[in-house]
Amino acid sequence: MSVNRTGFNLIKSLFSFTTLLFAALMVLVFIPGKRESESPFVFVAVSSAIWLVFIWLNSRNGTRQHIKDITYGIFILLIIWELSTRVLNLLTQALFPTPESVFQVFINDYKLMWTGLFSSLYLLFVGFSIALILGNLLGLFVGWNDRLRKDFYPIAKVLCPIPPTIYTPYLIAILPTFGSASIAVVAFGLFWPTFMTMINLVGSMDRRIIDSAKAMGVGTPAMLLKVILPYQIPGIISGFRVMFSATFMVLVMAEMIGAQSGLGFFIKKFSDYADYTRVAAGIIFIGIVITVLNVLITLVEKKCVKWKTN
Amino acid sequence: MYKVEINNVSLLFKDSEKEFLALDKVSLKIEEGEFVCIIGPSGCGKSTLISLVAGLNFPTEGEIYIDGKTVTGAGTNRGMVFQHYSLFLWLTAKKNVSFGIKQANLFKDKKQIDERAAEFLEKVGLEEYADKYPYQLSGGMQQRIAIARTLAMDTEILLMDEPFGAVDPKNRLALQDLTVNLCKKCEDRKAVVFVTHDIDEAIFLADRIVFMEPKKIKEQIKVGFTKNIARDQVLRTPEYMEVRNRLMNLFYEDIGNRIGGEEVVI
Ligand SMILES: Nc1ncnc2c1ncn2[C@@H]1O[C@H](COP(=O)(O)OP(=O)(O)OP(=O)(O)O)[C@@H](O)[C@H]1O
Ligand SMILES: [Mg+2]
Repeated sequence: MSVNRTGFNLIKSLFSFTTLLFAALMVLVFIPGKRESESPFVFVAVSSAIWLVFIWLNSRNGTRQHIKDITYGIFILLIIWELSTRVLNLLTQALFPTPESVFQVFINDYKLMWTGLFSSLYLLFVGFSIALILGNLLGLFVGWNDRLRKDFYPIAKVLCPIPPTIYTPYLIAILPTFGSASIAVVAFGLFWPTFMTMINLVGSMDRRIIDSAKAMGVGTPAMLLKVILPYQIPGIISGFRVMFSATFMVLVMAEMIGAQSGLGFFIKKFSDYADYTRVAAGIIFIGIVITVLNVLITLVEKKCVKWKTN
Repeated sequence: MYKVEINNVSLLFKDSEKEFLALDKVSLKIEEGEFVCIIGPSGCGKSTLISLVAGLNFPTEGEIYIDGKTVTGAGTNRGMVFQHYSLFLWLTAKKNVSFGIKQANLFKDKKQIDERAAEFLEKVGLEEYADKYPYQLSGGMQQRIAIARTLAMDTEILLMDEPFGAVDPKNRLALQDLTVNLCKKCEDRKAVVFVTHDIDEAIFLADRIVFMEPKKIKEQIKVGFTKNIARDQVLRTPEYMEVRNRLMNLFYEDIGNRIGGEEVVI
């Protein structure tokens, strides 16, 4: 029955508007155009991959409208891009590279891009870990203690809304290496909102849960780590999700100012040389990275929040 | 020495502007192994009183002693079942019960903890639901898990605030029997404070029924059949009718007074 259903979905998504768009794009790629370009191999491979992922998602879960709409959008955008650059050459060549050459960058410059990615992710990971661990643990502790909360909450409230971009140049100037500076930027920028959110979460904790834990003789450390923390995990993760994008932005900015590697550095370096083919490739790459990371966060969230009604 | 001694206790709730006196010079003494039911109109301060004994809140006047010592906070010598379901939402039914057992320090061994949790889930008739999360259970089921959690802790003192309120009649009778078995029929009887709105339940369970009117204890009635008679026999005794009538009168007097006065809460 479910095999039948998958088969049915598969056929339905094979003969769909998306396939039509994909086919149109493929035809466009192979007709001779007004502009010379790189080999279309990578571009064709990427487009086919998008199409295959679409087919796979659809045959697995049945048709979901937003997935369809997003794929339409992607293919229409690619068709317009291909038409206006390579085929009809409507746009200035220096500013608007063809999709063929942009996607070719992923092959030609893969080393630079991947080392950039790993250097960015490393900084992000270290900065995030520091901010999340310190922010949540201190937030738990301070939020639970009346006096500490009254002392620190106003401070957090002042420091939290200051955008990290403001002190980024300063931190890069005073810290010895760029790595330590961007870790500091990420950690510092993320710490205050995490800390403040946690204080708020502890304050708005369901009294009844606290009371029932107290009635079982739960002491302060266990109260914080075994009762309040697990109860707040969903809130922590959704806060993390919001802050994640902002932090990524800050990091890329920081890399544009002072780094010798990283995704931001990649884009900055080539836009200085007015090499917009590589800049466009860098932007697409960052988009893909963010999407993948977001999917990972969603998976973690699903795993951690099993106990919540959806 | 009394197991629990509530001595001239008053409690004043203070919000930013308003003050509300919830308890006014209440005294109550409970002996070792005694089962006391508190009954009374809604809002008269039953939950407030029981949470003071639990150590979740502190009297603004007077003292509460347990084993002769002033209560300074919650402790593992007392177990409490709350009026509202208060399970840990992030733990399965069984893990909720195990949490209590670990807190009570009954066993160190994980396997023993597990076995006891399973045993008590079975006692409240929910062994099949061991691995469900609270959101997957009905209100009455959650309350039964909460009861299992508290009973499994095997504390010297049990505080139960309308524990069977959300439970259907059949399970209610089963839980009453379970409570009697665990608190009264075993060798070391527990001291129990049990809040209920159900007159029959109070009569069946209690050694003594305490009737509260707002802020105060109005009357205390000694009961105490249950030694060895079955439920239906209890219902036929003249003593049962007498206690029941007395309680009904107390309720109606109370409502009558309030209709005569300014506020009416039924
Ligand atoms: N935190 C609080 N702040 C102010 N007033 C409160 C607070 N908690 C309870 N009260 C008041 O104290 C009174 C007694 O409340 P309590 O919960 O003890 O009633 P109860 O006898 O348990 O009623 P019920 O049978 O409905 O559960 C009520 O009038 C209530 O409004
Ligand atoms: Mg109550």
